[in-house]
Amino acid sequence: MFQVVVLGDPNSGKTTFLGLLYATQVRSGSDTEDRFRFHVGLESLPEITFIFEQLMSRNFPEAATKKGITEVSFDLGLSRAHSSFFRREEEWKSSASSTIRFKLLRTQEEEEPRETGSWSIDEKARAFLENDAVVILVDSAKLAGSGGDPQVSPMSRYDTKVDRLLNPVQRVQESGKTGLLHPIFMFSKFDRVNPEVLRAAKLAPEPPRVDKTGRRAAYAEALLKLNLPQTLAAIKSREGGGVKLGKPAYFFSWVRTEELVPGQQGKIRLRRGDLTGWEPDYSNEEYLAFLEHLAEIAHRSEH
Amino acid sequence: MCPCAILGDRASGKTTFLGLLYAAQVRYGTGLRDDFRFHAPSGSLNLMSAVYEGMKDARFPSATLKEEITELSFVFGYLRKVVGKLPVAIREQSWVNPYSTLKFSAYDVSGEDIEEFIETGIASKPIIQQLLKAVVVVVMVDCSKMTIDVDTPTYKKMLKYDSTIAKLLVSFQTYKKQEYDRMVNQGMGAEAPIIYPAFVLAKFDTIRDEVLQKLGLHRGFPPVDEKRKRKDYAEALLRVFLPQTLSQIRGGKVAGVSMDKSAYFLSYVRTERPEGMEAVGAPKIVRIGFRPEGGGDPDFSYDEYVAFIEHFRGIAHKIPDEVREAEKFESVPVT
Repeated sequence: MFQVVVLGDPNSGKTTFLGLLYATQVRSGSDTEDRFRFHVGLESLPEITFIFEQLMSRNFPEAATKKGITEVSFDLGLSRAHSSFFRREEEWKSSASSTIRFKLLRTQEEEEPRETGSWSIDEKARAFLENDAVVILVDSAKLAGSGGDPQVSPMSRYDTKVDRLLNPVQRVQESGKTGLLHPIFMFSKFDRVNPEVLRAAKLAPEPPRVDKTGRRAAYAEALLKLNLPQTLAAIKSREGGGVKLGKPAYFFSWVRTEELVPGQQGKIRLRRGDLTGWEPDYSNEEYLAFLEHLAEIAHRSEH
Repeated sequence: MCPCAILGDRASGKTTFLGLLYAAQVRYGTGLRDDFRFHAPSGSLNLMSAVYEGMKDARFPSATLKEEITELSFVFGYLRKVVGKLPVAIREQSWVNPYSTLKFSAYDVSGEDIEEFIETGIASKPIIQQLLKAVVVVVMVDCSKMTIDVDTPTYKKMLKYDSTIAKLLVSFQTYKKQEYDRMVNQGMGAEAPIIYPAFVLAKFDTIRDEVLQKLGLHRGFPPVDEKRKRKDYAEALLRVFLPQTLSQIRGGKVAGVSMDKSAYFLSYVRTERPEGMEAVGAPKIVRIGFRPEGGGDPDFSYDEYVAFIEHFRGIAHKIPDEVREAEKFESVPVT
């Protein structure tokens, strides 16, 4: 099983991320092309279907829902279609699919409100080191521009925590695992990024398309350099010192909301595609690319 | 006997469907071919015939009748091809088993019953064990709840129903896969598990024009011999209203349980619609074929019901052996 740990500050969008990931799979797994199939682990179903219902009812996951979900597993299968002269044959063998388990690493602050909001390094870091990929959620609403003191930026504490978890020495010492850890940055709430931050970093309002991986990396790293410098340095140092980190990947998540009423969370805007049902108005292509990326590295790591 | 489950929530048209199925099998099962038999325990038979009798009087089933639905079961029997060619004297010997049989049981779907299995992986209640053993799963889809107005309770009900059915299907898949793995681990030969799903689009006459229009569909569901077109049409509806269910049907293959052979049927019974005004009170069923002795038959999708009966002929002939193998493990709890 390919294990993915999801890191994020409280309210950074972890549960919404899982919900949108499920929504993407439901959409792609039921479309007319039939090139992608997935199966949800039974143990994760009640929570993930409930989150889906909330999103489809234009609501973000409630606090109680967030606490209820800690992990979800999916079997992903991409079509290995091959054509013969007369007909096209599809193969959907379970042996050709990859089981991917997502685990949310919640801070103590989320579980026990009186605590300080740090991860317990001993136990959680050990659990963290058992994973094959790490999704680092970057709350785009908290991104700061250049000019400020990185030590007091809204993300500095998060940066320190992630860096400590990524610490390669710790990884080698405690795990003894030989596989790569694949870092994936997911910029959540990208529709709420401060335009001034992008302007100051000389970045376009929209990230480059999903197929422009080089330009996307440069775009993302320009933001990370200012907000998660320690984490970025740890990731970039993967080349030396026997560090076992894979090549980082970058994705951007957003969900459009109806006009905000002051003091209230906006309702999710739904959109309707041609001949399809309603779905949240979100960065569907980013999630598809994310799934393809994950399926590819999971497939590679198993063979 | 191969277990089959009919799943539907309250007011999904399940009782009406069973009453009409009873009517269809009476007409179809008494034809000249004599290769189909129907049997039901007396309680179920009484209920189904009571529903049908009510419909002959232009009435839909009452709430009281519907409450009895949890107990309902019946058997379809299909004459085996080889047996059909034997002389009657041999065919009637006690050692000859002339019919392949499917036992259908109707279940009210609340989602709560299955929670124990989802949470613990153990199916301790006999009714859940029975349900999970089903090789044929018939899902009722209430077309009157198909709305594109996202702020209505009807839309939310459909969302909830989709989640419930998806959970049930994944439970079936998980159970079957566990059974299969256990058999393989014990060195017993076993075929890869298959579940045969069927969808009944109930109350199809109530589907709104605006819904069909938005989906680029016309009102005419393709005839029974155009299977591909029927699948495309039905899946266009499921894609919008039961997307989780459709994705988990397809996803079964990835989990090692094939559910690819879905079949789709319509169920409708025509009701009187006074022109130019809204109907008041319970709708009255349109009846046809009045006879001098009184009464008439409800005007319903008879051909679809015959197609439903015939669809399971091939399945019934195919699966008994697999089911017998699975039944060897009947007393073993799922873990």
